[in-house]
Amino acid sequence: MPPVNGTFCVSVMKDRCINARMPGKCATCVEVCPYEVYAIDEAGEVRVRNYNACVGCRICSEFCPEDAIRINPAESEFLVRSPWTFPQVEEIHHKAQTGQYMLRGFGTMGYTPSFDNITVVPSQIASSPPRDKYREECDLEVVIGEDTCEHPIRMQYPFLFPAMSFGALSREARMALAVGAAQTGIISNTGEGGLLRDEAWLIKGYENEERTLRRWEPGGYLVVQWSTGRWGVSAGYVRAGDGVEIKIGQGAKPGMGGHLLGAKVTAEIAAIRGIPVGSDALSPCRYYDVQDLEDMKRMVAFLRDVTNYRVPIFFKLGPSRPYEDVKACVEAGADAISVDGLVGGTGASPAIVTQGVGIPTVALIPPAVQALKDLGVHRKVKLFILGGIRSGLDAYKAMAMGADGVGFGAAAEIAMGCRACMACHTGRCPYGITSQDPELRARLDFEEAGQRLANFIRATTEELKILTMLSGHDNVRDLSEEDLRATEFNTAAITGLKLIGYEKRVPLWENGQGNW
Amino acid sequence: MVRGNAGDFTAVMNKGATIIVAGNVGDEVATYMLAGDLVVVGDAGRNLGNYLIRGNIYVGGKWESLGHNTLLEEMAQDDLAKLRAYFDTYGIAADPATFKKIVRLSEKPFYKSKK
Repeated sequence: MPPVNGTFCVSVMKDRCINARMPGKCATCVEVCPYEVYAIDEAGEVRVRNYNACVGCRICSEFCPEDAIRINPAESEFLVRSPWTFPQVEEIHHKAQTGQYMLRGFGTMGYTPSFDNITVVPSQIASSPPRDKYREECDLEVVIGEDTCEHPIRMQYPFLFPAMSFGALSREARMALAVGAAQTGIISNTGEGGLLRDEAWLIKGYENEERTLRRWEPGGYLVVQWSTGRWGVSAGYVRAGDGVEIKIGQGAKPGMGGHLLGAKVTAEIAAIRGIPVGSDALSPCRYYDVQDLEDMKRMVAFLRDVTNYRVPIFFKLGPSRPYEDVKACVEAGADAISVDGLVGGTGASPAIVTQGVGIPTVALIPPAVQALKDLGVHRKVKLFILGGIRSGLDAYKAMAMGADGVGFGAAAEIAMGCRACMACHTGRCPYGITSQDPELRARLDFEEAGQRLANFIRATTEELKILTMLSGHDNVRDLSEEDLRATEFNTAAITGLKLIGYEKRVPLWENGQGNW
Repeated sequence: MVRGNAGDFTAVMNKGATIIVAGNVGDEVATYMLAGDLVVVGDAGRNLGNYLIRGNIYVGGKWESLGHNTLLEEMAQDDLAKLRAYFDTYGIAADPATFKKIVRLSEKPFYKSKK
């Protein structure tokens, strides 16, 4: 069942295809396709059974040993048959047959308002001169919890790997994230799956539990997540991190808790989470013991007490009403707040929630930043923006709009090999990233993947440096909205950025802010 | 030939000139030098030879700090003879044996060539 609208043309070059010449000899495409586009019959012949189900992930193309497959986009069905496109028709059939709604992995796909209609303003005569990316320095460090705890986090770059649980992810993927963060001096977040023991020493750059073999410099930071599900939570867990994050929501399924289906709850995961093997791990949608701001403050005070005021406390928010949500977190005592937009992904979620619920990432930033400014804590309480951040260009825009840094969730998975086929929930990830099957996990070498993550972060850092410096700054803290322009009216109306040509905020924003 | 002190940004992007400073130089000197010789009889300031690509920097005195991509090299016989010739020609009282030589670490410090 393909999860999104869109159609692709599937072509198999028969002169290259092994199966076409020798039926039964190869059925790789059949095995790897998550949506049964290909089928093999009793005679051993492979054919394209259902080209309409293709979502364009190109996994078959990548795995085909003869490079015989071509996938090309074809948009006509979407334009001509909307709203009754093939995927929509099949979805209704599926519900009629089974009484079940669709679940899938990954994030929102298809057009939503994004950073793409924003451009960067380079500096020239009218502002402080550009800095030379090749010869001058740029300050990228972000410090969290400087005034509130004994061991503030000093991130080398303004990037982090946000919460992706062990369970949603394989053990190898979690280890790779730790190694990637250790090589770049940034944060990796455990997510709500509990703590995989290896992460505690890998994150500091050690190969072994005894911490005698130092492999990776400079070492990163592990933030442990405290969620409504309390999976694997204990005093030891809370104290094991360099920071504790209270999860209120997430971009992919705001208003709902974490989803890990029974098929992926193996013995190891069950043991760490403290639940029976094979049971669905569905986190409650809210904290039953937190009803108001006083309860939030009590939760922060409790965590500070348990950690002995050693580490910073984070909040993680989904995309709802960001001005009030951020304000509440600041008043509760947060050192840093992550806001995760509509586009943010997950291992499993009802499809309608992933596609249809939440506010696009770009629109969350102005109200979140205004809340921090109104409380006088902008740049003190750090703001991280997550949800579909792809590159240093997106990061720059988010930071110029007022964020202190960004998170790379989907992008990190893609750096490890993912091709966004959206079938994480099945546990059949062909790259071993979101699978619990030992055979598939064997394909993911955590050291190699960790290196790829570090490479991605470094390349992205260089992108951020280029943009920061050409716009006249040598410190990412100095970025501001003046460094951006909206390239069309809708985006100017959504973000309050100056509109190109007009060189002013659109009249909707004459009061200096939105209606929060 | 500078018969006294030179200031900041001396010899930046030098592409083959021979520059001799009989006194001191300031900060950010010889940035991204691509070819040529810089001879400083006195002291240098901060970030000397930042991202030096090719060429040689000879310093008789001290420097405050070295830039990226620099490497200290032993003075060879050629270097000593070259400096002696300059000093004789321009009447500079200095001993080449006390000079230090700075060269580049990597010729392509930003973008690696594809193999």
